[in-house]
Amino acid sequence: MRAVTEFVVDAIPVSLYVSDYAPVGPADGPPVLLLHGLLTSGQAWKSVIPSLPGSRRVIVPDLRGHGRSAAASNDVCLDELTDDLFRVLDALDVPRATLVGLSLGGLVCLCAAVRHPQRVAALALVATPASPETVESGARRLATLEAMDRLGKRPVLRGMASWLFGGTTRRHSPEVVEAWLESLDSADPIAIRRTAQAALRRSDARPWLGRVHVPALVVAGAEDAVVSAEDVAALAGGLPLGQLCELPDAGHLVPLERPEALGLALEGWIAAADGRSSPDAGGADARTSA
Amino acid sequence: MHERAHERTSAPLPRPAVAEAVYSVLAHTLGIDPSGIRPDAELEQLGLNSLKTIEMNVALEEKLGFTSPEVARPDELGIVTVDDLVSHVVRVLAGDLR
Repeated sequence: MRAVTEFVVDAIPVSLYVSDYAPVGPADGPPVLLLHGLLTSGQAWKSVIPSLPGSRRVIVPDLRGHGRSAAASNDVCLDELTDDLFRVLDALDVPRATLVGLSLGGLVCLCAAVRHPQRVAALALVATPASPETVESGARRLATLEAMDRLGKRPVLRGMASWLFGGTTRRHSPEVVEAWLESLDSADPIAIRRTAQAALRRSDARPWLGRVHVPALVVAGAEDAVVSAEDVAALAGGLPLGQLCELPDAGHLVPLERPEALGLALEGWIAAADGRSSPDAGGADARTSA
Repeated sequence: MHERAHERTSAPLPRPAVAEAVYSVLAHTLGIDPSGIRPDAELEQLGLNSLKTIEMNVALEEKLGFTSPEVARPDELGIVTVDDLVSHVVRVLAGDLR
């Protein structure tokens, strides 16, 4: 069992909640930071962590307005969430880490790799879109979040669950969906919407993927109804060191739906990535993406 | 769990009454004239997107007093047309999907 320390990074403009899992024995590589996406929290990784290499420190923050982190006072953008990520790493004296992100969390990790590649040992982007929202889809997603105010949070989230979770999870593991709904009982819809703006207003990542010379595992849920297979393929194909991994029986919320499978995929990836990256890695390498 | 949510206390509504409720809710949700809704009209063509589906479900459950037994998208339940939707609600109200 790992020892875990929970603390708050008193950052400006918001305080961020972080769980810090110590390695078992001496650390043998950069820490792994796990960043959740919208409508989840650091808790989403709870069942993934046991499958990760025990020799790595694991850092799990809550995004603004999610879990136990403070809410943003205004709508936020990806750059601000990326600032938050570096604030957490700085507060923990971590110069370089492997970044793993789910959906919006993946976008933040990607942004971090563009801004400070020397601080990113490797990337794993789970159910992360490369293309932007269209005006229509962005408006509809925001309107869906706003509908919580007039229809109630639970009915709207229950409706959203039919897109966020894969059919396999919904049919065979309804308790996973139920636990997710319960986890959001105390969530603040306004805080969620402010953070959601970072995803809804994202720019097209595809033009600058070629600049991210960091080993990158792109993980897709085979039943993801939120991020299309084409979009995931574009992400994996656009990253010079991208590699695609598709997990069957998973929708968009992969860490909740297939935590062990995701953990094992990450474990293998982290070990392999160690041999392919260095702090000053900059040149392009052979593409490994499917 | 949702599977036990629909608890019938009286005889299930006859199909015409269910259809009337479905048409009324659809018209209100989509902002269209109920008299212009044909049974074979495809819901997607009528404008039923993901948000409208949630709004429609909430309104239908409230109007008819049930909770959908599954967390599923209409296409996963084989619901393509208005008539498919009516048939589905009839089955839910009869408890056939529990």
